[in-house]
Amino acid sequence: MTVRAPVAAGGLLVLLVASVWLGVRFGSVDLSTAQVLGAFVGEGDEIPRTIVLHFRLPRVFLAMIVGGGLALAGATFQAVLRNPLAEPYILGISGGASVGAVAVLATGLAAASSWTLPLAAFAGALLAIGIVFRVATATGRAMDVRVLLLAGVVVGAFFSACIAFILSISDALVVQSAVLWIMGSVAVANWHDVAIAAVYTLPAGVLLLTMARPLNAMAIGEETAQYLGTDVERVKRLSLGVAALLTAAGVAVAGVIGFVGLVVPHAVRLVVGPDHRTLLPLSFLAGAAFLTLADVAARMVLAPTEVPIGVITAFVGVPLFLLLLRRSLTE
Amino acid sequence: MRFSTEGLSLRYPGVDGWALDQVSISVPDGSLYAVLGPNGSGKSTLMKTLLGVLSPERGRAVVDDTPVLDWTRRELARVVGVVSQAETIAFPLTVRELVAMGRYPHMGALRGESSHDKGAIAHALDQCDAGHLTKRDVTTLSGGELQRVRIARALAQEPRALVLDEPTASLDIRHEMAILESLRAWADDGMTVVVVTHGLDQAARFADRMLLLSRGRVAAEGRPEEVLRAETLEEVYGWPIAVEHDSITESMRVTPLRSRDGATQAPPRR
Amino acid sequence: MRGPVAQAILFCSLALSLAVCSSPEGSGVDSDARSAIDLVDGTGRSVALPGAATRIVSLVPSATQTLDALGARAAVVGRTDYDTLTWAADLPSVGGGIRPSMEALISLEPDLVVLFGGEQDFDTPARLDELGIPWVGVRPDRIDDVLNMIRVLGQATGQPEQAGKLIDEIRRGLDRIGRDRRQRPSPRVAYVMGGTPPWVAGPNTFIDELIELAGGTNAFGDLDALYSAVNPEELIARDIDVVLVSDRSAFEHRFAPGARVEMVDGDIQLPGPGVVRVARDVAEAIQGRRR
Repeated sequence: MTVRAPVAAGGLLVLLVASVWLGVRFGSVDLSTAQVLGAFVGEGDEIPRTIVLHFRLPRVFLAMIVGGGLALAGATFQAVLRNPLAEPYILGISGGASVGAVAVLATGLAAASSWTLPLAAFAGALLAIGIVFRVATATGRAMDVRVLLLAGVVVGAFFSACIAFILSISDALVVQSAVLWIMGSVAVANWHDVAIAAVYTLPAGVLLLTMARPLNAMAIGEETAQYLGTDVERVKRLSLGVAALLTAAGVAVAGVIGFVGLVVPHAVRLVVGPDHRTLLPLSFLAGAAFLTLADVAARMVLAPTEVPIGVITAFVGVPLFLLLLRRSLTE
Repeated sequence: MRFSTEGLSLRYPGVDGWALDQVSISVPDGSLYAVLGPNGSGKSTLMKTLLGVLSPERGRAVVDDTPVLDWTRRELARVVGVVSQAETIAFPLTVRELVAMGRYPHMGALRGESSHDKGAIAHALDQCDAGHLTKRDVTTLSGGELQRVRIARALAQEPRALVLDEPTASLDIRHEMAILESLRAWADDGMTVVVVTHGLDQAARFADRMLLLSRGRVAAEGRPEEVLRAETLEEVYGWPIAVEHDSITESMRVTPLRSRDGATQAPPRR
Repeated sequence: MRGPVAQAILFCSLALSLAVCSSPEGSGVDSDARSAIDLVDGTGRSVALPGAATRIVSLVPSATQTLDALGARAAVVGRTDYDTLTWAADLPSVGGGIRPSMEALISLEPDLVVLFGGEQDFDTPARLDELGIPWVGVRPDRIDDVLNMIRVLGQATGQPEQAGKLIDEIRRGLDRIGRDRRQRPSPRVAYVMGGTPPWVAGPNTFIDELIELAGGTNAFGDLDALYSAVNPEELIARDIDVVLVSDRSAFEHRFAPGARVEMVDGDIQLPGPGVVRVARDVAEAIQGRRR
């Protein structure tokens, strides 16, 4: 069922535009199409304009950037680790970020400024990446991806224990905030978050795209990749480093949104094949559209109550993916 | 292309003894050079060191007058094509996609395939009799087909030298002979071909020069009739062996004897 | 390490029981309350006590406050880690209010345990029943629950009249606040607890009651849940006049640029005998009568 890349890209672009429209059109407050369109040309009442331009539009953009970034990171991890089960959080990044976030929530430091929580989450993610990379390169000059995977799982387990410990001595409101943060949300996105997310995601995306061919080569083995002209150590460190930072920054602004980074690259690979020159950009588009639609669902199903977006990505994404998998196997 | 090594020595961490011990060889330009030796004698290690994937503890490997470690991987891949012993392909690729990877060292990061790239890929597929396989998923190929496709990928690099590690292992007679004849033909056209193999007879028929490794050391190097001597082979392989001239192939024929044939006593193992 | 700790606990409990025994008429514990007491606790369960409780372990901080307000401070022998009252700080703690340390609890030899009558912990009451230690459940979610808790604890400590007086006092205080409210259109009020997305208090909550009492309207009185994380665009669309917070950073002002943001006491989330003080605080915040 392999589809030609231009056809898939066209389809995904249409889907993305449609999901952006849904993202600004629908929210818990009932606005008319005229009000939404009016907001873009500066007409209509103040409140609908504010809702569209300062609430819905930033969260649509943040969902696109974070979703695209997670899918991109997932595709990269799967190629370099040569493991189709790899996902952005496999190096303990989510655990590190969550420890940082939960620690500042529990100590009340999160209240000091709106920057404290994202910064603490980012720092925790960097700590996890640092430990895991350090362990994987400790044995010699070359980075051993098997050690990297193992270290990631072990470090993740350690951070889970840290989170459980902190939560066990915290009161109910902290536990509730922590659980919600861990499940992820883009509900309170503002243009600042969007700008920050874009500033790291777009260059990271271009950098990963320039490594598409080396990633193809790596996917058939590190030794063979060297014979095909790839500086394997450099590509490994650079691509894993960039993908890890991309994930860390995404987690910092939107929490631990699961599932996108694991399944979107898989689904895209089923449709267009494993060439990273198409897989990477199309994963970005698909991740962006998927998370934007998931966010629309997150705000609509129990409106005005917000459902954590990670719940939606799993509830909707899993059946969708299983369907795709079955179709590709029966063909 | 010329390959040579000077006093190459290498140990693996945690393993006693030298994997390569003072190996000095020289592969002449445009020759078919066979690397022989028992299991664990250091053939693959020599190949990887020759190609700069492993770094020697002492000595150095040189490719065309430049130490191999001074080549960038990209520059080396433009002139040397390699078919390693095995590779596991993690994701389902088509044959065309796998062979196109041979063009990577020649292509810019974001550029598509030029008409020259496309020509090189098609030519490489034809040379390996794999033109009809282009749309197949590589994970569905037979052993012989996959080996031909991997050689086609190395040829698509438009190299001046080919290095192959046991390219005919586990292939049937037809596929083995077809590959060996191709290697011979390419060497005759001026390509340097280094092939690691267990097939002593075939090496004797096709190679210009050969190297016999034993426990990481050079046991013999030279033309086939210089290397394939019964005493040397018995010593290296630890098995009674007869060598005679084969009038059909006009080359040396190596015959391992039954230990009870008594033609020669099995030499004492070291 | 365990030896000295256990000894210390034993010593503390001995010292406390001596202190209680040596002052029989101390702190309003009725001396003639030896007769059996039947009562219905905050969860509707009938409880029979052999007499007025004199050794109470309170697992609910607002119940500890209530016992203090009833003048039964001396009858409290154990507390939780969440009790913040200064006088209770010297008492031995049994850990958290939900699933406390049974060892610590038993070593205090309580004749009554006050616990939270919710669904969070079925273990502790079952264990207490096995051990034959009487317990009452309280569930101070709203104003009526607080008054009921005062009644239950008054009965359990053998001083129902004292409890009745306290209840009347609270009712009068709340009535006064209700009468004081201005007659002009009622302001739309939201209580934002913090979090992303922001959590707000819905209908049937203590906070909802206090807002209505002060003459305001809970802007989120139509939610399906008691507390809920809401889409921030609701905050702007619901035309809110006053946003109450207990934590300045809990709320981003851009969510309701036209609203007045007022700090209120964090006790607004912990209904207890201080309800009049909290209600007055909320009323002043809503009506803008501060400063």
